[in-house]
Amino acid sequence: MATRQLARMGLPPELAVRLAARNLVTARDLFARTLLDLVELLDLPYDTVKAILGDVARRIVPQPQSALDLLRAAAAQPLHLRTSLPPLDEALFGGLPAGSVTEVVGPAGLGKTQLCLQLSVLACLERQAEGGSVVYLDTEKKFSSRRMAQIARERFPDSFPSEEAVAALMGRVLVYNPTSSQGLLSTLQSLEPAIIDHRVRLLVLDSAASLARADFAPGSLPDRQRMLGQQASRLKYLAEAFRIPVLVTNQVTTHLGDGGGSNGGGAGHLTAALGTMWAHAVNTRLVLESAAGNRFVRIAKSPAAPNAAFAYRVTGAGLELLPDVVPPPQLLQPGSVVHGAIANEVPYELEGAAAVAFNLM
Amino acid sequence: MDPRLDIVGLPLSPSVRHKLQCAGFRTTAELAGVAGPVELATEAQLTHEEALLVLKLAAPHRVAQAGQAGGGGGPAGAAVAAATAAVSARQILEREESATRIITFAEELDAVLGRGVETGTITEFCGVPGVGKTQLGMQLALDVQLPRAFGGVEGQAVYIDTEGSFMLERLCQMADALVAHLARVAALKGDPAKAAAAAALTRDALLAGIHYFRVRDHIEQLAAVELLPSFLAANPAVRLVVIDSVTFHFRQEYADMAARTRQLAQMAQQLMALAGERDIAVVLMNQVTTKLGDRGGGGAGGGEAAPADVAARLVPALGDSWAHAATHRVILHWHEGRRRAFLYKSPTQPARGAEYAVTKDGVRGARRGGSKRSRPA
Repeated sequence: MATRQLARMGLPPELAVRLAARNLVTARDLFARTLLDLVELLDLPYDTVKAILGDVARRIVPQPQSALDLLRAAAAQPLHLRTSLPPLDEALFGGLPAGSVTEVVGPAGLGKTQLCLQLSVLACLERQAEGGSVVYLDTEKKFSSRRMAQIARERFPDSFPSEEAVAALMGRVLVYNPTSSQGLLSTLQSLEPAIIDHRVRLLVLDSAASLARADFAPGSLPDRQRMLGQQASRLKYLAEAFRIPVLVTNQVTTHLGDGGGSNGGGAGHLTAALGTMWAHAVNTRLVLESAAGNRFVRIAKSPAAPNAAFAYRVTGAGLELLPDVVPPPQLLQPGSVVHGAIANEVPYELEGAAAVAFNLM
Repeated sequence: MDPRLDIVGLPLSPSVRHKLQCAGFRTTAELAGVAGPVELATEAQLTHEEALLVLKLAAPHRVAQAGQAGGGGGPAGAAVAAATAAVSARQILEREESATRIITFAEELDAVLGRGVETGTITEFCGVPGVGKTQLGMQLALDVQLPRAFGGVEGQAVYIDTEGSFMLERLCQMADALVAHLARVAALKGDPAKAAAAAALTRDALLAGIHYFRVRDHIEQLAAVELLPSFLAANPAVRLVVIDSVTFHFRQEYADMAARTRQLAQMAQQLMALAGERDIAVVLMNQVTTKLGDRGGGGAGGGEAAPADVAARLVPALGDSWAHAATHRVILHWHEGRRRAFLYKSPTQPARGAEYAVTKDGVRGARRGGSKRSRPA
């Protein structure tokens, strides 16, 4: 870990004193400087500084594992949270992958929050024996406990035969209502005790976009991108440290202009909000969209799955797939207007002007 | 270029530098005139160890100076010159021609890269989210293990995952496809050497040949790179290092852009040295960022609709100085609904593009739509 104290790394006492005197307290302090800076600061020969860096690096670097070790470890602990939508689970090798961030993006009213509620119920249910629970970060005040109870009752009548069973489920969902981007970041930074105490098996953020889009004026994109970057980093860290899936929702925005090249289409197609950097940060992206009178959930980005789409409807029990509805071909053709807009991530919100300043040196 | 470098330019600790300056040394040329470390130690009141270090650090400059002055320089200069013998261009050519390559399994892409990803250099792949960077990284981590009987490198891979996108089930799927493919080729050719090699290569063996580091912030990433030399010394079979992505942690947490640039430059330097010394291929995945207004009046600050060809302005992240880090830079992008790779920068290959596909079996050539024909061994 980057914040590991140098004082506790068993370095020779003389050296530890020298580091402390130069205000080099953590591993981060050391690695934030270049080698030549350190030679200067510590007044030590090049090779000695290099050796110190190697020594410290050895203590903070994560232990490498072979992919085979990982596979054997995975057999002991399931790697996915199933969505209870079998074809989708199959395409994703079993459901939402643990240890990484899955994003659900789509226009308002297509069922993003419904899917979040449904997966929260599932996470509690799957780990019922061990008392697993869910952290639900609700930034839009859209969390509905009544709706969640309904999904639980109607979808899993066997598991929730009584109101007590439903009440027990509700007791295991911890809802937070951050009201600002900074508040959300602080919450993410202070979640560790809650995750351990309550054996949290799923972290939901609904939505990642609303606060960022409200808090930052168009002129402050570098600040916004930095904030989003820190949030993304923290979400990934929690996912990885506790080996849990993280589910976030994102909004869409209208992309004006013609989207470039072959599409021809023109005015106003939809694209995911928050821009390219955020799109890079999520590991798996599911897109909810409507086409030809049906709603579809499409896997737009995944290290695991090929491009695929499934029709669904929203019922009292949450999302249900419609196996008989074949997705229209333009939905599956990568680079089409629909696909291109979101998977290829041509961002509308003029990330650029600021991104040039922030991302480019 | 003036060979008489100022000693201020040497990576010396300030106290040693101060002593040298007090003793009247200003340039490396002056150090070249010294008979040896003991003399320097006496003259500048250094310890013997410090004096030796100073001479070692000054050595490359002394060699250059010796060359210009027609073999002059102090007696120590000649010894150092012999130790750091030059390499002729002919030797370099031979080395380049015999350089081993790691095939990607996408034939057209291999052709663009010049038979695959070259060892001894850094290759960077930049691309939009979802275009297949991680898939390509995982594919290469498997491909580097291809047995020699099949014309492969028969090495191992280090995979440094900064994003958490490394997906084990997908890797297994790709490994199974590779094993099945080799068995098929061996059966087809009826070559006993190939058959034996194919039989020895199981999925578990392939997975065991991938060393996986999950780094969670940029400090851990820098630490991992710092440790790579010793890790590779302990695991000499490793011939490929993948960092997926080199970008993620460096896009947050940095308020000071100048510091970021220095850190990245140092990391690139370390990777470059490593690639050369151990003759391994370093593959870096980079993200893209949006750049507006290359020609529009001074940086398009307004909130109006983006110009029509926004897509054309997605550029690799990390900026212009980072662009020098990689030997080969490949842009992965979508073109009319298909995945394409474009070799944007390479000292040895012409700039051109090729299609590739991501199929159930992994990264493959586009023409046969997931054909599994391999290159002849």
